[in-house]
Amino acid sequence: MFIRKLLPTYIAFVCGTVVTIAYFFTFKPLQSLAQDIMQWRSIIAIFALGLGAVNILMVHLRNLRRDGWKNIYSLAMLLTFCTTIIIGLGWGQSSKGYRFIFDYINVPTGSAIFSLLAFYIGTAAYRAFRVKNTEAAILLVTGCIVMLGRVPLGAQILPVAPKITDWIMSVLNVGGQRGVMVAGAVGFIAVSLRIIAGLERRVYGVE
Amino acid sequence: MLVAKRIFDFWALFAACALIGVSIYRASKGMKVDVRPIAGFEAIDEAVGRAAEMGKPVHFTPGFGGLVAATFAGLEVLGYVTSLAAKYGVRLIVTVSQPETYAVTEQVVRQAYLAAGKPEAFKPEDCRFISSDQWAYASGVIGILFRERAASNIMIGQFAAESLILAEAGNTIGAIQIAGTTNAYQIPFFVVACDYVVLGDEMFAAGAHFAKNQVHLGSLRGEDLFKAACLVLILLGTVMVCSGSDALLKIMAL
Repeated sequence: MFIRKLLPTYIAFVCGTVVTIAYFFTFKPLQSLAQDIMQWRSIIAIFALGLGAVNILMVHLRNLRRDGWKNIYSLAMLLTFCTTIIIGLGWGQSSKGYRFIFDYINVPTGSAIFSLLAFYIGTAAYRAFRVKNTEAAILLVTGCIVMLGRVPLGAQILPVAPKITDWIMSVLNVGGQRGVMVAGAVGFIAVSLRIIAGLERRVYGVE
Repeated sequence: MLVAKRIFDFWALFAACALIGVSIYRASKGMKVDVRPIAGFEAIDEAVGRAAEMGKPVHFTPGFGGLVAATFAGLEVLGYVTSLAAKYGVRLIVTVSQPETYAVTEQVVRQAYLAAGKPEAFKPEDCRFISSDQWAYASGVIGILFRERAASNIMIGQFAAESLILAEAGNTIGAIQIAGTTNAYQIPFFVVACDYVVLGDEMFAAGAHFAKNQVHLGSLRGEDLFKAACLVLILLGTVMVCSGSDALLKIMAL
């Protein structure tokens, strides 16, 4: 009980209170303590990364045991996982081999996944612009005006489009987004307060 | 001594905490707080039920964020989804992107199975850490969605640019999709690609909605009171600035 619930609650209370007070008050010892707490947070996160790595190994080894060498994805995952660790530990992160993995495998594959967004935005826009009700019709008209206002050719077709677009983006759009941001920020404060005060049990894995 | 330019921020935070604290206290003393139904949360039963009928798994992800408030709100929903999955005997796959979130998520799922009386249903390999790299996480989740053919895809937490990629993948496999985030830039993507969306701060009502927890109900009331105060301040500021007075701006800049 003490280790599972009370101790994490005390730690969260002390750390949360110190970091919050240090942000607002010019009291050097407290600010130094807050910096130490933030460093400890990073150190603990590294331990958690080890836990994640064990989970990855466990999942993919189980897949290989179940499917054998046919499970090409798990095989590729384990091979690249081990290769990167061996090169990183053996030759260092600035070695040619490690740079090769990062520059010619990690970055291009990341960019390839990111590029999917271009196609997905097209299909999502197609679905959003199907006129099913009044709201969808308003969205379609607004979307068309904004698209016209954002391209040079649009101003030739509808000269007033850029001005209407600017108004939509800077008044309607920003107003709506700020509403979400303010409400979200208040929610953040409430959740943080509950955690610091020990009223949020779920985060400690306690029902 | 308060840090310059943070004086107003401090008192605003103090007022918010006081309002929320008093509301929690009053709720715990029996004050009645009503919560309006939230379509996204109401649909979770349907999503898990559909997976049970189809004999397919439910996929849940709390997003790309670390241990931030939105992730905690997602974990609150995850606890409820897990209890439903345990009740209906549905396989639940949870994917996580940040190592520190993984540790907490695994504990939440394990505890929810235990509370449902089915600790044996918890499988560590179904609570998966994918990668802390944004696009590796996105590709990992897409792969799981396609390979496992999830009947329901629930994404509630902190999301960034990967939101549309995940939502479109779920849409492609025909999964019923429930999503929620406080990131205003990603909400439109979820709105067009998902069946139900929990908008912005609605996420923080999860505990009040599912468990009718007095602490959460009180907290929700405190949040609403502070939001009302913010609204009054916005209106007052608009009137004052339009009438040529910058007094409020000067106070807020303190």
